[in-house]
Amino acid sequence: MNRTVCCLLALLLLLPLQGCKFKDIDLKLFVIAVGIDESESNPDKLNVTLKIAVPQGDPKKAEQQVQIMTQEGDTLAETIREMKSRTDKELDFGHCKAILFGEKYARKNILQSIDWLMRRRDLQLTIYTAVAKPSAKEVLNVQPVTERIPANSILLALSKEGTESPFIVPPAFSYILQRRVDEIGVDPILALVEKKSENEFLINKSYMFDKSKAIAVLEPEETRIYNLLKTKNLKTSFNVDYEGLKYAYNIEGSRAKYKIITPKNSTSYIEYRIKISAEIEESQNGVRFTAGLLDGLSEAAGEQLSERVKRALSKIHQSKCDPLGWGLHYYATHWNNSTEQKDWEDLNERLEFRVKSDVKIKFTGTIR
Amino acid sequence: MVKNKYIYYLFLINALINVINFVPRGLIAQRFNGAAMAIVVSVPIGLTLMYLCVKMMNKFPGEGLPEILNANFPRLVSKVMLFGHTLFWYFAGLITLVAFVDVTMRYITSDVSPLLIMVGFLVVVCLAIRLTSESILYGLEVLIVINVPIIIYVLFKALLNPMFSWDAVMQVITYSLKAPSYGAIAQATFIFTGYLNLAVFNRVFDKVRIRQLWLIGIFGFLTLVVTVFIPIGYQGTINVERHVYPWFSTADVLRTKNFIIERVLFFFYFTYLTLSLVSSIIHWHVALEMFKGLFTTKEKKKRKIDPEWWMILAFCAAALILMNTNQFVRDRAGLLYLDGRLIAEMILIFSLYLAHKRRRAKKRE
Repeated sequence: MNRTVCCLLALLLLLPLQGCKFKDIDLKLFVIAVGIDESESNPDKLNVTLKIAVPQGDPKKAEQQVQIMTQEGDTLAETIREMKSRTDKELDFGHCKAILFGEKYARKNILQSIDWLMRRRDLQLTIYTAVAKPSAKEVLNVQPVTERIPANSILLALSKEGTESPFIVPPAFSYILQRRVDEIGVDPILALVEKKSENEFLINKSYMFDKSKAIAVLEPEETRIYNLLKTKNLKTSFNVDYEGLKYAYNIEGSRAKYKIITPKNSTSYIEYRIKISAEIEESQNGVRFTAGLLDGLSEAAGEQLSERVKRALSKIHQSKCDPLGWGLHYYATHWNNSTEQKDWEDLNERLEFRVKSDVKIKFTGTIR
Repeated sequence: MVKNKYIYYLFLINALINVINFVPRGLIAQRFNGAAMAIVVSVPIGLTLMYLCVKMMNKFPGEGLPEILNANFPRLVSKVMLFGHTLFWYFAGLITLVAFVDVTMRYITSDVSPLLIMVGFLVVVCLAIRLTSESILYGLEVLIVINVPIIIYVLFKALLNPMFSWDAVMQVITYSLKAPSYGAIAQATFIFTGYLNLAVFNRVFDKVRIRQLWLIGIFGFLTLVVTVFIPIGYQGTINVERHVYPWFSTADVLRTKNFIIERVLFFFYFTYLTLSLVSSIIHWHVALEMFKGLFTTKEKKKRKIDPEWWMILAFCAAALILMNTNQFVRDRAGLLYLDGRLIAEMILIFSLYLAHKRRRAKKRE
């Protein structure tokens, strides 16, 4: 009796083995990137572009097959469902890694697409987001010659796994975008991907958002300063003018800290302290270095950097956006929860910046 | 008889499992209204209850709650109490199972029907709850030893990420002087509740001794802090409450560039799948034993079919019916369960004390 029951149970357990409901890999198309634009004919509609990688046997072969599809619709969900009837295979979003917002669309309102991004269950939370110029569709159509795996180039650039350009802001994953949209006291900032030609794009600016829409562009120089303030050990070099000659130094280690200081009876200010250790990478006229020159250079470099940082900071502050999260930092360091928000708004009106950069150029490279 | 160390595993499994479900959600919902204070307060409360319970249980070596209650209380009273406790333990297991069906649907296989997943889980759990208490404890030990390193790895991964926002965490900490609500305390004390499974597992313990109670306190406190603040650090102070399963969203956020798979979510899922199944098994094992205690008579009659199977069938049927609720009903039911649990726990310990007193009085006569 007992044995028969066991056998029956075992047979019953075999039933679900008929095969799972997954589709095999040869029945799937992998969406790698999604571009979202405002429709040209109707500003209420979206223009969705999918960049799709077609699975291939051998990843070492340099031939790559990419399909790009564009469709117009009211909502993302609906548009993608409509696109499904234009393909022979199932669209799979499990490997989707990048979402690009067209510039025109980003300047209007991106909340709808962020909501879709976060809510849809097969999309990861670690999707790179960026603004595309002139439109997401055109940027997705760019095919760099160096691309080995379909649609990989834009991911490598945005994630900094490939190039480590100091002009690309830290990856704005979709969860970070949503977190900054919701959070009081910090605003989103996204990299701006521009189309340069049919097979080249350029990422060296960034867009500041006021929660739902793109407001102002940070130029390459300001983007780099933002990165210097936000990330530790940024890989970059800066120029310095000293006694009529030009030098360039390469950063080995960098760290930036700030404090919000509110004196009793004068305007409050944010004090940035930047610590950099560096080495000389280039000098004009093949200068021979001495210890004194290195010290003088360090000092000049610190002063000049302070000026540049100050200029960038006041531009960020004038745009009324807060990509560096000063507001949140103020709230996090004050325990008067009921009044802190108003306090910050008041003092944010007239905020000054003081920058103390401590550049220590320690080495001259492999020659003196 | 099993060794004393298993009491720590019973505590651990509850502390680890609290991450997936209602505890973080409930505490995160009250992050601006005293969740931090509730965490602090819950440590002494949890430890006191734990100490009292273990002390009382030691007065009845080798006996489970059904025997203790049946022997020392009037028939009706003991039956009502046992039935109440059965319900609580049954719900504890059920909530974990239902939540995991939901998580599986949402994150792993969105195309498989939830019914099939639930049936799969029920088969595993129901076959396991009939095992002896000892073998369940041994199984628990194996799973904890395998899974704890993975959890520690995920924690390190989470804390050492530059995307983690310490400002968001600090912002919530600045709200920690608010007085906590009863609900928040009930949720926070849940992680200390693992020892309560002694109600049945006491049968296989020789004499339970908890050394280093303060260590359990520190561990519990850190677990709660991590449970609440890591999701806040990743999702932000406001956005975090929008996530249905804050910890699975957090695991989805983490990436391991140079490991077998890129997304931490998948091995986090499997770790918690095994842990929550074993936690459900423990809870339902206790529920089953309590339920059996309801029907024990002095002389056992031989029956054709084991009544145990009918009870298990009832468990499954109720589980399948309760699966058809929507998300918000489940949320409320889960939080209601946590609220009721703290009182039920105190009642249980008090009834043990009464039983002890009554037994002593009887002996003196």
